[in-house]
Amino acid sequence: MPDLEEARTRWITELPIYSRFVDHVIAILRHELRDPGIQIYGRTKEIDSLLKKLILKPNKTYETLTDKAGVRVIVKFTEDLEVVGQFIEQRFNNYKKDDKRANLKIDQVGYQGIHYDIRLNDDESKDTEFDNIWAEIQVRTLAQHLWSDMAHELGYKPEVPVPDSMLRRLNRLSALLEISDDEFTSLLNLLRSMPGFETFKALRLLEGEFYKFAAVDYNKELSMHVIEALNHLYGAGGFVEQHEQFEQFCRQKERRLLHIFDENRNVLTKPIFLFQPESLMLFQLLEHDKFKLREEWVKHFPPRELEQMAVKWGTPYAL
Amino acid sequence: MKSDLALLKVNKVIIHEVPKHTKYGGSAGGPVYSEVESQLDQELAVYFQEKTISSLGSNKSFDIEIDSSSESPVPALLTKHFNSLVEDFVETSKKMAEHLYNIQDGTNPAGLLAVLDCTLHKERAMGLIKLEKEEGVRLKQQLLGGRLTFDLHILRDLVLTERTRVYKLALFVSIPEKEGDYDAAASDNQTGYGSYNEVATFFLNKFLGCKLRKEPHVATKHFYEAVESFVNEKVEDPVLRSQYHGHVVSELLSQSPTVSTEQFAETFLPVDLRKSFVDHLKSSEVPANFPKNNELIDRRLKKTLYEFQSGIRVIAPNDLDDGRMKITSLENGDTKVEIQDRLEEVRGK
Repeated sequence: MPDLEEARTRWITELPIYSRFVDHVIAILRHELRDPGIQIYGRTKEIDSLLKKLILKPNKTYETLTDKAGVRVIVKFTEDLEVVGQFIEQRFNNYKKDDKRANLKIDQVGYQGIHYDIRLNDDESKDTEFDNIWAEIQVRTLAQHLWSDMAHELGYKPEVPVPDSMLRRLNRLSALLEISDDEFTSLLNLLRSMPGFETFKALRLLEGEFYKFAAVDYNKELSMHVIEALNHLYGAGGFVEQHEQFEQFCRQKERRLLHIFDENRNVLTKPIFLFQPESLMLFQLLEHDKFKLREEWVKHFPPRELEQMAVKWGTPYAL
Repeated sequence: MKSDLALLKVNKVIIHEVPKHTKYGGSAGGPVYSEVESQLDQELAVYFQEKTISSLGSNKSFDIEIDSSSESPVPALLTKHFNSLVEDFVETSKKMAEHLYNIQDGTNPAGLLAVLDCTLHKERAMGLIKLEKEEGVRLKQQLLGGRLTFDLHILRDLVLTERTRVYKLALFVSIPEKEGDYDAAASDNQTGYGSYNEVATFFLNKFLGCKLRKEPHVATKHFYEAVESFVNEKVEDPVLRSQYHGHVVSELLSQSPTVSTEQFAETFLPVDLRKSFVDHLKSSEVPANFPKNNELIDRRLKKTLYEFQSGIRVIAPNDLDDGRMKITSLENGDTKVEIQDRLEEVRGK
């Protein structure tokens, strides 16, 4: 049995470091996993929870308890579990993976998240307060999260013994949510094959960046029209395939973008495309090749509107 | 200009009226000064910012620099303004308006001088707009905090009005640790042949005390050479190479007094080549716009040399009649040149 008093004292002392470590790991994950559909948050263990765990799991010690700091990544679709998992495995050299799906037998249902115990790479953590500090990252779908959360509330780690009939009902819900995950993925694939899906997805990606600069309502129909017209300028895969370069562009040009949106926020006579998410697409294309952009633009929209946007971007057409 | 114009912010604007000045002293008794800056709201600030950016990005804008031999007080006033910790914007602008009035003669129309105090991120900048107005149009000043000034809407309306849209504009952006040196450009929204001359002689030299950053004959030579290197390095098709070379010759021999690299690209090159062409010229330090002067390349504009791998060289006059020489690309990558003419002479070389 570990020395609980010593664990208590150490946890009080080290809690701020773990708390900062949680923030650090969240920042790393958020920087890479920018899809607005992904939720990332974290916590440090409450002191009573830590002590209870040490009592209930006597084989664990303060040092080997790796979930003192915890980060949760919740994705919408099961396919995203792989994407997030791949990133974690590439980003952190020191990790231990616990795939809950692999632990379930064919006749079992239940929680299917993927848990990673991670610490920073040696060159990152050496001589810092994060040296040998571990955190647990839980990766799960929204449906898995729902089941896990509710099961925790209703039956898992119960305060009072729960009858089998109730556990059976919980398991039935687990099976239902597993089916939900499959159905959501199946529907997503159907949706992807429908016309307009790529445009809609591009708009979602544009929105993700646009709302960092302007929290305004906009004309969605106009956005879809512009995206459809200009999408092929991003090559065969369209804007969606090039979204990483787009996000990089937004980061590199952040100061300029902030200036443009701040200066024009309260101006009445601004270009109609400026406070639309596709304005960012126009700025990127102006920067990349304003000649090709104009060639395409004039087939669909008034040239004057693009000329105004080019002035805003500081690279007017030489008229 | 090298500065990121998107970051331009107009902080203050002051307007002075500069009436027509005849050698007999003029009719209005000198400039009508504002005693305080005009009231500037965000709408107007953005309006002037846009006007400045679009003018300086137009094909009528030229990169300029201070001419140390000039007698204009404007360079010294700029230095004082950028270096002074004391607020002297009004006085500086009045001295600029006074200088403008003093150098005008009966041929210069009456007008307004607007001076803009600006920033480009961390750098300070000053804009000067010289605006012509119709004679006889009297502008009323208004009181602001007990001091006379002009309403900026007047300036905006004058710029927008078709009849009085002739204006010249210059922007000076201070360069850190290079006192007296600026990233600067001047433009004239007037079209036509007189445009550049007007900028060059009166507005640029006499008023601003500046000159073009690159002399026209040097800029023209650099342009010609940069286009040649682009054509030879980036264009594979020999027929197109020959065509594009022909375009640069005809552009430089045309009546147009200025060259805009962007407009050249848009007029003569396919859309896929335009960006790389403009980038190539920029990296070769060719100004985006420049007045033409062919004196350094006169001879090269008369003839074109075609040089082949085997050592064959063909020199042809650029004003050959159609059909005398024909260039064709062959499937094996060779180029066929057909010449139909009368042989004059064969000589050893």
